Amino acid sequence: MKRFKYIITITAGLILASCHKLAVTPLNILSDNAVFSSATGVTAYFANIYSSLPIEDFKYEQNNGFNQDWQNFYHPGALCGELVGPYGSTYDGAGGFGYWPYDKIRTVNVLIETLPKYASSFTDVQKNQWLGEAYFCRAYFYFALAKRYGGIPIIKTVQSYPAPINELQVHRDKEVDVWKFIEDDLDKAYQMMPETSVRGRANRYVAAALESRAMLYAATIAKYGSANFVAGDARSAGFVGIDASEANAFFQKAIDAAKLLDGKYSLYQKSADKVKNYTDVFLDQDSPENIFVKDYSLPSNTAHSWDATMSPRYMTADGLSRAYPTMEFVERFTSLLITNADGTPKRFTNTGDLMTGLEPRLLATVYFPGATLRGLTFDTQRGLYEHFTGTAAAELSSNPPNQQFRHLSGSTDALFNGKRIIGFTGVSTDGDDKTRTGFYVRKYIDYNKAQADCGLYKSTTSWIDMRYAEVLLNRAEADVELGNTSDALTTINLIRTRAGATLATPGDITVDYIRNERCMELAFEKHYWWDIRRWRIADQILDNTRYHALLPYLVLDENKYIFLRENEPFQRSYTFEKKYYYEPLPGGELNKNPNLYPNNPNY
Amino acid sequence: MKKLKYLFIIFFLFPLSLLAQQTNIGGKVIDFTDGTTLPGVSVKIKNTTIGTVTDKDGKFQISAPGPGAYIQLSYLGYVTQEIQVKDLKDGIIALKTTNKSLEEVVVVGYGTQKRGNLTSAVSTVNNKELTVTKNENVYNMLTGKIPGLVIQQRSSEPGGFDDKIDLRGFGQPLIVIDGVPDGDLSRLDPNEIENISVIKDASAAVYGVRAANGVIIVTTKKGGKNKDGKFNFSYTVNNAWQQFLNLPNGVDALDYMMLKNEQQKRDFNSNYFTQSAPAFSAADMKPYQDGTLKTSNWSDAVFKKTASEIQHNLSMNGGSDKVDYFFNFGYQKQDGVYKSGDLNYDKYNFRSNVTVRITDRLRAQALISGNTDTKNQPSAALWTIFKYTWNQLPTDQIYANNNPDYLHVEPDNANPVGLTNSKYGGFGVIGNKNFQGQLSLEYDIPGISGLQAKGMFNYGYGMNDNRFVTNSYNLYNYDTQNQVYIPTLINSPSNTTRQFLERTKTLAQLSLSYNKSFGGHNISALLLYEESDQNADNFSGYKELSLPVDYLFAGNSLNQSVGQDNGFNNLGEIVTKGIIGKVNYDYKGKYLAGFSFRRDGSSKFNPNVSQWGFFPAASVGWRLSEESFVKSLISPDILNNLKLRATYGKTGDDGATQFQYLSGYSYPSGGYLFNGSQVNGISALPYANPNLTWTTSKTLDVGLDVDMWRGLLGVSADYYVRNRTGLPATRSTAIPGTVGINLPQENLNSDRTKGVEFVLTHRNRIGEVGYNISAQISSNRTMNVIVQQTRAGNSYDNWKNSLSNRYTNIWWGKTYGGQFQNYNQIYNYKINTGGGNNNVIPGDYYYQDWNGDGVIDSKDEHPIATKNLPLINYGVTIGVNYKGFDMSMLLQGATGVYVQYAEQLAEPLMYGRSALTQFLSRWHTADPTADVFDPNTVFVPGNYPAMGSPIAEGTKAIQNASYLRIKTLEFGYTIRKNLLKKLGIASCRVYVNSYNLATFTGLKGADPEHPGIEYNADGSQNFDAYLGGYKYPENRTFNIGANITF
Repeated sequence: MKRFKYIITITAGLILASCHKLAVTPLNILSDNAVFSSATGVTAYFANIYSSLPIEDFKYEQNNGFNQDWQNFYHPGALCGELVGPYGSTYDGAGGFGYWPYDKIRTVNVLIETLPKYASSFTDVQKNQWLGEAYFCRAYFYFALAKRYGGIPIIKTVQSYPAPINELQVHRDKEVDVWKFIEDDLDKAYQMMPETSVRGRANRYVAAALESRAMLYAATIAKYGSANFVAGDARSAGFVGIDASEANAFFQKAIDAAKLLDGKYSLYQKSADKVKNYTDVFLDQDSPENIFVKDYSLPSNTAHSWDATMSPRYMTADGLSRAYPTMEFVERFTSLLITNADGTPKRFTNTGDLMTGLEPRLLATVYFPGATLRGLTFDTQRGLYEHFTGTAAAELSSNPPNQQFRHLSGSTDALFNGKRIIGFTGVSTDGDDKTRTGFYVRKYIDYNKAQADCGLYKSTTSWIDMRYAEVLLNRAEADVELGNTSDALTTINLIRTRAGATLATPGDITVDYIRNERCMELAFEKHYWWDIRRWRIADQILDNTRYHALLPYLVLDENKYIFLRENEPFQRSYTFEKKYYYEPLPGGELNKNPNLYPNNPNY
Repeated sequence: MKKLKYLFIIFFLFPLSLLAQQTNIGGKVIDFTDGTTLPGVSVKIKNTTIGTVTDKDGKFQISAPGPGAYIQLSYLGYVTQEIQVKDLKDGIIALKTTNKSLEEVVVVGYGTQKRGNLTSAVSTVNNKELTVTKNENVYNMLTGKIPGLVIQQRSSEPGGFDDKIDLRGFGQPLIVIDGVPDGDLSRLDPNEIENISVIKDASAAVYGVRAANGVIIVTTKKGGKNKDGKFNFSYTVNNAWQQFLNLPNGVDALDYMMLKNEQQKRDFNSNYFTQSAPAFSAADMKPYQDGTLKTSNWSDAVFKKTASEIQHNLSMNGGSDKVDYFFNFGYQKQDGVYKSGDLNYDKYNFRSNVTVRITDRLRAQALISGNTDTKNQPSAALWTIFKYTWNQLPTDQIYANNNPDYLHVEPDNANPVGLTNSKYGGFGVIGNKNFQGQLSLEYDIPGISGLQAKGMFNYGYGMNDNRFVTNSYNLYNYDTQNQVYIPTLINSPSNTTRQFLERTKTLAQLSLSYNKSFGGHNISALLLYEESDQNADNFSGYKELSLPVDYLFAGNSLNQSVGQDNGFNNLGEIVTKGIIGKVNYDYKGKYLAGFSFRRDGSSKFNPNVSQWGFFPAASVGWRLSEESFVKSLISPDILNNLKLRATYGKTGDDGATQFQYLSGYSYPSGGYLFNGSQVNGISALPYANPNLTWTTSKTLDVGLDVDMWRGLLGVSADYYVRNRTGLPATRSTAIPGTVGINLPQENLNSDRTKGVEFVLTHRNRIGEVGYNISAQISSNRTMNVIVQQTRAGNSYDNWKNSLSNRYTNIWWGKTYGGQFQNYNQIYNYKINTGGGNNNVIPGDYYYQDWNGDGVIDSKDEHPIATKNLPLINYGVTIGVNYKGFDMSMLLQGATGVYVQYAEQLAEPLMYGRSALTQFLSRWHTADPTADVFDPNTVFVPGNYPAMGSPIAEGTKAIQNASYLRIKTLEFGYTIRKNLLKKLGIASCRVYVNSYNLATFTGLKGADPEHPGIEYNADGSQNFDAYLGGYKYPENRTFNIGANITF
């Protein structure tokens, strides 16, 4: 019996030792109090909001949205002729991706409503700064909605749930009211935030810069959208479209907001070499031109792939490229001298000789054939001519005289008379992972990076979401629309001086000139797609439009290079329908809330 | 039966000598079924006290009073047999086991029951039946052996254990090993398993939490007194050669270039304005024509034809009056398909089971077991290797300039030779360790006979420790013009990651049980309290390496990071508690009834509201064969057993995501770089639902068991229905996105599964040839009853996408019409194939206009097949023995299986890569330079449309993958004992065996179990489940092995 007692005691001990409570508290759930009563909690809350701000950075794809994978060549510019690239058709991007960030807007509204309850924990300055930041973020979300859909419901308070369904089924607001709501939030943000902030966060000038951008959008939509539109119920109700009479007030607001930044930021001018200087605008972390940037790092798994996917694999360590600047884009700067007066192609000893005398900003924006990167040359070559006679025009006609002596190839292994037919950087007849146009994007390419470091998810170059040059261009555009030509001229010449371009004269200052300057200066920064939409010119410039390439050939018997301005070899054509000026409201949302009807015209 | 008697008479002719009185007679007793000798059989002369037992060779000598006397042979588990002395002369007497076996003890929930008294649907497999199939994964050894249990082997990846397991269409059942839930059956050593019981109906409710899909109860060997009183040592070895099933090949370089040019010509947009240049020119093809360059045969460079696999096993088994003991040690190693040999797996198992009888009333049992395994693999994910090997271009060289020192650059840096070789890209070492220790005490309480108390405590520890090393290395291009190698350093910098995850789990049980028989009434009852606690923790670290030392300590601090997975399953605690009660009653084994309940609490739910669930179950059975009116109709010698049985009960599942009753914020959740450094984010949790609780299932099972002619015919049939309610789902109908909240899960959805099972068995012996056949077939289907769905924008979409009140596995698609034969047919075709028929060419597929609206589009889709698991599964087991020889065969098959393959298997030149050889049979222009869109162009037909034409869909793409496999075929021979005696060997069996020997199927180019496209419940494709069809292949093995007992 003694033994039993002993054993039973042990058993009981085991059972007791294992006695656990059913109420288990999870380790990673925080309460309101833990979040809003400390500066670190609020900062962490903001980290979440900022990470979802609709910043159209390297990883943004017009058709899929934010924070996409490594394929950074899905660039909105490739929908509309700034680049040609991977998209199948213009609608790929024009249809949008159903952006509907009301969960994020709620997150901001929760902060705006909750923070005052914890006011005693913080100073007024600190509290105002955060509220200002919240208004800035909310305006940023609404700006991203307004430029896609026009008028959408304005939700400025936290809706409670459960609630009667009819209270939650809100109606659309008018487009003009949405823009005015954005203006109002940004004005509040400007007033409440301090002058400076840590890198990556907003201050009052960031709000002002966004306001100059947003107001310019509103103004041009009012002005040009009133002339070029698709009729429909949504338009009659004011859900899309702004009355033209509102335009000037918005233009003035854009100028006023832009002027707030005077003397606070300046154009980057650290290097005397104009090409290097302009290249470094996008690489130098400490640029006085940067207003609002987004940073990336390897340990946080946020790095992007711009280096690996905008340059050929020959110059990187992984990935491939698929979006290339068009000849039309290059010709915004100047026409290239590739033919002699008699129409015959000009002969070049090296392909790189073509770059002589071109605007430094162009050379810093686009890699030409013969340029170098990381010690390697863009040996771009479309093919070989055994010999070439006659004019370029004849060769591009339907009956090309030299074509039987032309050799093209899909492989860098193929030789003709011991000479490689194509270059390692293109142009191949097989696939488009080498240039299709003869050019590569140079902006944001980090030339200091070792080739081995140019892999997928290895680039940490900051995205400059707002820089001073854009604010100047916003101001110049609004100026010229309101007839302030002298202010526009001064502003534009600040930019052209830095670009190493010839200065504009008062006679140059037209709407088209300012717009062209904007397209050159802000190339590949994901502005162009929105700009041609708000100017309501996309349907005119994209009408079964095909783009052109600058294709270098080696003429074997002369051992010289010629360039032909040909159709880009994949012959993709781009068409923008007028209804694309607005994206359709997300179908799932229409199903959940019939009060969102009418949908935008022709959807 | 009669026939057999005659046989005996013919065999044992009536000898005259038997007429003499007091004769000494002798004989040998064997098992009727498998012919093994039976030692220890009691041999008596009827109505006397004369008796003996058979010796270890099954032989006996006895003196009988005369030829008319009856000898009575009895042995536990066998039908007692009488034979007249005159019928016997040194003859063999074959004893039949009691009916398969009504007396056999079957493991059921928290206890055992005689098979004859079972009222629930339970199937069992014993060690011998299990291990006849040779595989590295216990699940694969169960395939085809249990009706209703579907095991789909999705790959034979070493250490992958990639099986889809489904019981009766319910889903994955709960695994209980020696009373401990959530065991890892895959990694168990099959030699340790005594038997496996599968509880398929509501009687699983006693297992409470997650028993809603049924329970697989595994009982390990416990040791015991051997008949000869000795400890047995046995050694088993199995040596296997693996072959890989259905590995396709890519086309050669010239074919590839030809296909690519055809695709280019087929592209309307790039040939309409002006004809584009062909992708590959004559200059590109020339090096392959003149032999300067050779086609890269990636499959040959990467994959082996055969790979080895070996298992060793040593066990010790025995007992004495005080102690029973079983010890097992196992080792297994499996090599993979990579030529480099860098993919392999090994595993060690051990188990020590000790039972001690401390006193007459008190027993203790200590069960200790563990396994530890390691999987070695090169860094690249396995499925990508198959993708790249199939699609890498044959025009891309394996080595630059054909020089093996210079691995060639490939798209995605994916040179499969580099990817499969650890010395280039690095490697992963994936390790699991799992230990279980269990102590239980059992005490017969004095004073009340049949009352027993039991306490059990189990401690389990599982650990997952992975090390990954990525090495940077050079890939090269070769500049043929300048004859130089152009290197690029990839994967830079080299780095290493270490991941660690551990789980501990304690389980405590206290129970009282009571067994009593009086006047034909038999009662057994159990009351049990159970409590379990699970803890998980994990972390991982990453460092970049400056020197070629691939451990964390040697890394630099540049981009180092330490992480922790904060998912509830990998970090945190889960507690469950349960009270279980169970009563079984029978009257004379004729009227059977049972009732059980379980009250279960889970920490996943709100403590104040919904934590506890109550799950009762009841069962009844009626053995008609015990009724005298039945006995009078049919002799009990013919009808041994006829039983009707039914169970009904409720089970619970706490699978819903934990802690949804809590509101608040999740941290960390994403983050952002402020001032250049990462700040972790905080995000709001979905709206809380304080009421989220158990999903409940109500299951009805009705069954019939018939046994006739003592084993000549056995029939068992079951019909079942399970209604599940309260499946967690997110209410999607109501709330607009502008509110900006994520709704929590609620217990909203429901479904219903119905099915049938049927088993036929037959055992017989003709002379010295014994054989048995068992066939089982099962079928089930699940229907969604209520599914939360957003209302679609129009009534057609509503109808089409509706899931409620429909089978879950309906496959929608178009019906294939045919291939256009020429342009005339296209021009005269009145139905718009989707794009206005402008871009249609001869060879393109067309589909039936199902809704007759003149356009082929998604509205023509209608139910054309079933997806997911097969509709009908069956298996046939055949065993034959003759003297020392034995043969076993398992046929396993399924019908109503449909697959659709994706990616490379469906589309040539996908993503601009290569094509598989099957696509060479395609439509193309007779003249390669001809204009594809010119109506006068002459086409050459083929199986597939032209390159660049739309790929197959609907019934053209979905193939019937019904199949029948010879899953197992084994021939064995047991060497006669006296030959081995001198070697000290008690017995020795040698065998040859094959797994997946042959497969009969109409499916082309793939193995029927290899996963094609798989879908989520909402109809979207689940790429992670099928990995684009690039899963590691199935294998066929040839085994040779021996089992030696000392």
